[in-house]
Amino acid sequence: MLQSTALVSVKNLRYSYGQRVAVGGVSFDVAQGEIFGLLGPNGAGKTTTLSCLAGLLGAFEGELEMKGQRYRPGDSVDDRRRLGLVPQELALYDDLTGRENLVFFGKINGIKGVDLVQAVDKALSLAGLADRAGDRVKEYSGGMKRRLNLAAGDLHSPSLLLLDEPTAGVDPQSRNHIFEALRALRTQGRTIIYTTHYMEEAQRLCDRVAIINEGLIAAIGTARELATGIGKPEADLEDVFLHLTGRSLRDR
Amino acid sequence: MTLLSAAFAVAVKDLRMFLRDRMGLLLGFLLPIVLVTAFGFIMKLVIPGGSGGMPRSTLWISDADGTEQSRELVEQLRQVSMLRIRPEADEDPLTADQMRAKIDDGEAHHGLVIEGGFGAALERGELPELVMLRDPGRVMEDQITRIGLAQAFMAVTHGNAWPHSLARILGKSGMDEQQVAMAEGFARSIQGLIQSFAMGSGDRTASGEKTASDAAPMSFDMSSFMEEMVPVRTEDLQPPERPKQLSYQLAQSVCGIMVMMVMFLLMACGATLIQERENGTLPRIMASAIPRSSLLLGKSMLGVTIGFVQLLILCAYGQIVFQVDMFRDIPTLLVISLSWTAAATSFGMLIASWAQTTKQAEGLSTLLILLMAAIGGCWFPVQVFDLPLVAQIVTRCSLAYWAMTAYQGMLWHQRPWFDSQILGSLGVLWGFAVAASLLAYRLFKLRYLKG
Repeated sequence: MLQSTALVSVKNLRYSYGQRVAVGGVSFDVAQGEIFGLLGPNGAGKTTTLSCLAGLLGAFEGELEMKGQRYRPGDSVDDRRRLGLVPQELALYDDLTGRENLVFFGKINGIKGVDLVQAVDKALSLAGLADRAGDRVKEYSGGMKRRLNLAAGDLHSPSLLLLDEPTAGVDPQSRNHIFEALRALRTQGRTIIYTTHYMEEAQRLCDRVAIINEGLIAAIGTARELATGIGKPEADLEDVFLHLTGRSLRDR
Repeated sequence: MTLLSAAFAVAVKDLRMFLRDRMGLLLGFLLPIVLVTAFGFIMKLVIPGGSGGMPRSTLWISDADGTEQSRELVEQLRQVSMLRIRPEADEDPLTADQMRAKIDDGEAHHGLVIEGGFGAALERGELPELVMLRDPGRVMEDQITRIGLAQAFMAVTHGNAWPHSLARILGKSGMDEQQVAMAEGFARSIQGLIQSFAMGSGDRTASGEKTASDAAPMSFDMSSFMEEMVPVRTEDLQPPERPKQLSYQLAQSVCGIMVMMVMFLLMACGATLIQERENGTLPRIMASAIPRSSLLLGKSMLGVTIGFVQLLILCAYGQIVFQVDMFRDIPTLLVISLSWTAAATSFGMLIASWAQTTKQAEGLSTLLILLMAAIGGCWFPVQVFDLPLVAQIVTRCSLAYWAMTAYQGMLWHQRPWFDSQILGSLGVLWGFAVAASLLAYRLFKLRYLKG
């Protein structure tokens, strides 16, 4: 079913840092309007996969497709125009105001004039920062910065939104605000690929998840499908995750 | 935890962090060593041993007399360690007009003309007049030259000339002949006394030790006394539009600070490239819908703009405070300033593209900027020092040298931007700008576009 409506297809993606294989042949499809979670222990290859999809890592093997067409954001400005990235680090300029940050990120994504003003206002509203738009980002709280980080990634209404642990280190209120914002984006048809360490978060938010372990996909499906797959239909996503990836530390 | 143990823990932690960036650490320690080396190198070459702590200055000579006495004067001048006499033995002699042309062109700053009759006048016991062609703004070289000339003149006249010179000066000042004759006689008495001291004929004790009076000749600086006594007629030659109050050192200081500070400013602009990576904004920019090289180009554009504005502000300051007349030839000022900011910006971008961390960039750039400033003439007027060939090559390896040469060409020699010497400097600056930009782009791709 997903094959016919897939916005993004990842086929046998491989990437190595020197001799170390980070992603060893990952394949998955993500449907239009779907929130797709990439879960895995530290060093499993989630961020590398996301970086390949964002065009930040050039020399990968495998195929990326968007709407059935070859997709190479590292080489093509047009392909990059269709994606939005919310990096794990707060990709903001502390000395600029929230509005100035959004104006800059809007401009480098091709928005201008009245469209830019409207997009910035909408993004500030999405982030719940309309009344603090004129303050410098360094005066924001951690949660406000996270919300602005998300808003900056979605400013140009991309087809595909890539989020790398967007709720790391935020309070429950800001986390909830981000969830609501992502759900709102989904209703607008935005396709979202999302990495997180928070299993409860993925269970609440994602339509489907892929659990990556040591550069390979260990399982893929809805939370219920994954629980059934390990023979424990009542298990939550964290149980499934530990069952599939083990309990030993990975980033020693 | 006690105060001391807590402080110790903090110090150990900071030391670990300090040692972590090996390249940055190396550059930090290398900086003073390189600077000491550069300073020592310049000072050793500029002020060679035995020159009495004075830099060497070039004096061109035209000997129209060609007598034994004039040749002896030239030979004595060659013996003065603080002077380099040209033409050398293997070079063609020059006429006075040829020397004037050299000073007009800025190739020379002092020329001594020994006119016909010099030897004959000495034979008659008269004091023949010499002609000094000079660029009056070269104050330091003027003093060096006059001291050297006094020494040589003393040697040629065997120290017998100065009472006569004194009499001449007093006569010119309006003293009547009788008083002049008395003064000259008195001076000759002093001369005799001095010569007896200089020849070491002071009283000695029975044991052969010198008496206190023997110390006097050691502290008596005959050459500085004689400096004003050599009969020299001075002919000043300088570009007509150069301000009279402008000295070479002042022009060099203003230009040197301008050239050096622009490099520092543009390094700061270049460092924003590294900060994009360190602040985490780089991935978002790289994933946006812009050509990725626009990041490097944008930062270069900012660098050129800010550097250009800073140069113009410094020029205005130099004009207002020191009356350096920076805006006499605005097209030339703009062309040189644009060329220099382009070269310095590309230098900043090259460092920023190479460095992995801000600390590395700061360390390397500080080292290179101070080194280039020192050997390029921002601190010392190396353009005018008489340097050996190796040193000349080394100074020309500094980007700052070419900027200084161009600015001094405009300011001091009053040349337009299309003058061949300035064009040569601009060519070097633009050549560097293009080559460094290409290399910076290649490093940028390697460091930033390959993940």
